[in-house]
Amino acid sequence: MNRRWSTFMGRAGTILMAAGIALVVLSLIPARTEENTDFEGTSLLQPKTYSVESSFFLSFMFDPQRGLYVNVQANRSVTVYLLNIGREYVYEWIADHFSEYQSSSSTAHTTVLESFLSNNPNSVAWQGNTPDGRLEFQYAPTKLMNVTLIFSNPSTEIAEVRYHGKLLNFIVPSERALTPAKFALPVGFVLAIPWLNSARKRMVTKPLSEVVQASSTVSQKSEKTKAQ
Amino acid sequence: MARGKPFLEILASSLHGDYKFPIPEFLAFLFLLSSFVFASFGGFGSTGVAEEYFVFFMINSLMGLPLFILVMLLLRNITSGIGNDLEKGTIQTIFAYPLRRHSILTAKIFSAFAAAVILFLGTQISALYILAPDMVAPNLSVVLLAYVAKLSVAIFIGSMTLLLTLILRRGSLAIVIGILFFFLFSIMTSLVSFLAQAISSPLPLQLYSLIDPSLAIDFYYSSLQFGVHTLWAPSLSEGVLYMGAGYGLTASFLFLSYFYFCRRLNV
Repeated sequence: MNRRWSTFMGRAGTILMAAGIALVVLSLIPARTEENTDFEGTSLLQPKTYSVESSFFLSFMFDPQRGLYVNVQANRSVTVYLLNIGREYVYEWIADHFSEYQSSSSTAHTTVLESFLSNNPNSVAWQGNTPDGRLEFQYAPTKLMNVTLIFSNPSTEIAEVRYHGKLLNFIVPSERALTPAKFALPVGFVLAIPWLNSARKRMVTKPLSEVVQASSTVSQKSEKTKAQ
Repeated sequence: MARGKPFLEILASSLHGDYKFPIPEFLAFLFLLSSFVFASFGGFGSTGVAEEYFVFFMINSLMGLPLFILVMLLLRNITSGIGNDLEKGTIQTIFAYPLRRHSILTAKIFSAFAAAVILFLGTQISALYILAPDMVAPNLSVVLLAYVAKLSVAIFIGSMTLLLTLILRRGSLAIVIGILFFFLFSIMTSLVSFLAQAISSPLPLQLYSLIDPSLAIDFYYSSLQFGVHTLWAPSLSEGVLYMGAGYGLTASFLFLSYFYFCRRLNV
């Protein structure tokens, strides 16, 4: 490879590696709990019903640096949905399409929720089940959004759900920083290998070249002095 | 010798001088780190009103310190690259290359400006995309507009410093003047806003937007979020016109620099 190209690619590689290291450093910084934002609640879900949780902190606006941690405990398997839209929109949509429910109805039959989700397929930001009665998750949005937390009981028996959560602050969510770092570090290293190799060779041969250069400078100076 | 070779030779040597190892590596590290640390989304308001405003707000927040570093880097590259060549007389050696003067200056400018700006934009847009992919991807035009507007003043200061360096033939004095201009422009935004409110006229804002078009773009996005601004609510096309004027001013300084370097510079 041409030496100029090798230098160019090598420096691009070292810059990519530096960016990768910055991302790894950022991914090591843990999320911080936003002060006084803890919330908790209990829901008693009738068979085949869902419940929209209405904690004050869940009405906040979330952004890529403000996420959510939720811990759920239930006496049977329930489905947890985190929607990327505000609960007012959910209430309004349901009131518009199912006249038997009022616009502030937070509990309804699961078929209503299924209908809502099938008509708003992009509204689910996160979804999970509690097969063994426990579930905890952390969610970091990828855009500005309001959120709605929903517990759905698909079984034919009553389910008791207890949950607590808090708001989290990130500099950058760890996984989001690590994914490009995993690409940048090895690619940067591969690009930098020829340049690093030639730099190492130059360092090895430098003393000799320096000696030659120094001796030629001395001889030039002595010639000049003689001429003067 | 192929025609492009001397140009590449000068460009390579300028790049080598301007970006010695590990300066760009440190810059990439710091640009990326600071972009995430200073990013802010406003933390208020509601979604769906004007996401473009929030994207612009986010870009403004994460650009602050990196833009300052970029301006300092541009000033340093211009004054220590071209300035030192003029001061120490090494420009005579460069003139010995079989290359026209404007090509020599182009290589120097490309090294001083383009590489730094590419590094800056690369790290900033990557940081934005990593942090908020679903905000950046649908609002790519806002991202580009914000960066083009914000960079105009940095490039303007750089081109002004270039002309000063050529006229003064001393990098050390030109860099001081360049830094003073940067601080002056930083103060001017607040000053003209205050003045415009005091005299209840958008004229000071409009005049200053000719130099720093990011002010016009700022007011455009503010009016999107908060309704028609009481003082000044420029349209997008007006903002783009101000940007054109800002870059036109920069281009005129660059033209003067080329003219001086090619026709008036006696070494």
